[in-house]
Amino acid sequence: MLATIIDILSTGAFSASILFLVASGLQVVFGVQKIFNLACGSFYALGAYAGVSFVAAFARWGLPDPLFLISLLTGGVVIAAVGPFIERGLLRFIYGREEAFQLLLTFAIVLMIEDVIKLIWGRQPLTTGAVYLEFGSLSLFGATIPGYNLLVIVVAIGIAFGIEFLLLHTNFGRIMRGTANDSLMSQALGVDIPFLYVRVFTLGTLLGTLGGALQVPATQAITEMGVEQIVLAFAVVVIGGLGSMRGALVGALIVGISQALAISIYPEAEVFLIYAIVVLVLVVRPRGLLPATTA
Amino acid sequence: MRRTTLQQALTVLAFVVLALLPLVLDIYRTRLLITFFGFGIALLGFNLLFAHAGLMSFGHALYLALGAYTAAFMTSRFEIYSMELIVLTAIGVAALVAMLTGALCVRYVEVYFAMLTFAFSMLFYTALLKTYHLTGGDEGMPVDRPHLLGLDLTDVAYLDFLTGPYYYYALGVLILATFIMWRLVRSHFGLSLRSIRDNPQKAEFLGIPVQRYQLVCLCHCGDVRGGWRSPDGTSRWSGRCRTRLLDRVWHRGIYGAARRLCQPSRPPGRRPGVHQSARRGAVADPVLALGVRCHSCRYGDCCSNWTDGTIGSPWTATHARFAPTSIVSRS
Repeated sequence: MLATIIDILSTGAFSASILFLVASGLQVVFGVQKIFNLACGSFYALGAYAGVSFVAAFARWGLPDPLFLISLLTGGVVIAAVGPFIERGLLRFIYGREEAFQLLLTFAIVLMIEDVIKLIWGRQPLTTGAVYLEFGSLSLFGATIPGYNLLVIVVAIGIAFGIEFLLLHTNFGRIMRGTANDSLMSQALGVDIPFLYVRVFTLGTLLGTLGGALQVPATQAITEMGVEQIVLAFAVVVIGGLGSMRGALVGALIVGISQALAISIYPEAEVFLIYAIVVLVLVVRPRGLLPATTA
Repeated sequence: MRRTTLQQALTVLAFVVLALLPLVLDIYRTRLLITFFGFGIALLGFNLLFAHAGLMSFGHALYLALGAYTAAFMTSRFEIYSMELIVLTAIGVAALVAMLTGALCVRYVEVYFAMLTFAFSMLFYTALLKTYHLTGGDEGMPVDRPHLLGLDLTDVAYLDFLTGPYYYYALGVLILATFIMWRLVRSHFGLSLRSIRDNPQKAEFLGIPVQRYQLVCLCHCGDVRGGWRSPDGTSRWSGRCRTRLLDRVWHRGIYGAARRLCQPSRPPGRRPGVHQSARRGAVADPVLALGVRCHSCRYGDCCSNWTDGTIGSPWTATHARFAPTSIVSRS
């Protein structure tokens, strides 16, 4: 019994860490640019594929296996370079448009990236091989927790603190929060809005790609992973509250753990349970559990 | 009627050309056209939602899949082969599902609406995928060849069936759907929809349920397509309803056609103002006279000025009578 509970909690915390990264990318972009970026799921998929490629490449160049986390993170960071291009090349044309068009455009990006992935990496599911087992596993009251999962949880918590620090204690963060509140005013005060948007979008992209890169050793990279992640990320931000970072954290924990719970008890209900929660939250607290106070 | 003559003439001409095309085209291209009819019907529905009501549905594929799976279930499980029956059942099923999901979705706007519809379609997709014993998961379900207008065409060769009777059947359904939509967007109902789109605040009070009904209409169309998309491959290989494929193909289909497919030209003659139709509506729906408005309106008198405008359709009135609270958006 205890073992089952620990199992559920640890699996849930692992998927919550990944979900938090992707959803916080969504939140950052939504908060500042007011665009609901469906492509966050594609960045996640891109990150996963880049992670696979970088792990393979670095291993060939002689990086010892236990250090594969470095190659994953590098992959995530490098592939985040698509962010500025997408922002400058496509998104900047639709800031003033209706939301429906913004959704259409970002969804078009999702489809395009999916095809680009097929073009570059092919349709076959890819894995990072056996590196997942590199960190062994931890036995606790009869439950087994893979060492890699623990590591990812630690890294995600680190990134969460990093974002917190960035938002609250740096100048960039203050500008971001100010722009989220009132972009016209911050423009009047001399903030270079287009440049800020590029940086914010890149940050959002980076969070998504890192999430994908960290996820991939535990599962595999498949072409549909992006679309599925969008729906989960949406569940996370709706439960937590759109535009709020703490909301993303709480939402990710709720979604991750209920997913793990459903999988261990009645796997068919996995998605259903999450949406039951989403519907409940929407009916009872339409603004989410921890709505953004400012933006 | 004079102002729409050109558009009507072009539409009719297009249908005539389509009817003649199998004489010219080879089999492969004729088959492609059947898919085109399918998308056409589905997009009529999507267009009603997006262009006339300003609602962006990302989960439209759900209704396609519902229609397709209804057809699959009826032919291969219950051995009902009448295509007309299949289509009617598909409409019923999709309308039911749309009422349930729509009741929730229309409470929210923009991002929430789009994502909720998307979420419902993903939910259904997962359900299809996981109930392997029922739906065959990602293997799909076979759809047996249906009877068209009561004719058993089992003896006709597969490609002959598709490019002959089935082609014209599909074209007929498309024409019928186009005509219905044409009438619909010119009715009070269509007018109400556009007033909702253009001024949601004003129309919100009774606009919301209108959108719901309109969601239902949309799926009628969507699933008519679904219903016959599947039997287009009566041979087992392409006749399977592939969940993924439907989703994919559908999402791609949306973009091109979205806005203007069946965009109405201006209504013939003088465009009836909102108030005009309102008065007519108020007279036409005796339910209103019974004081439904006060009953369902939470804002007291302030809305009475413009409720008339959107309450014009009997749909709404019925709704106001039987489900007054659910009409008012709570968000």
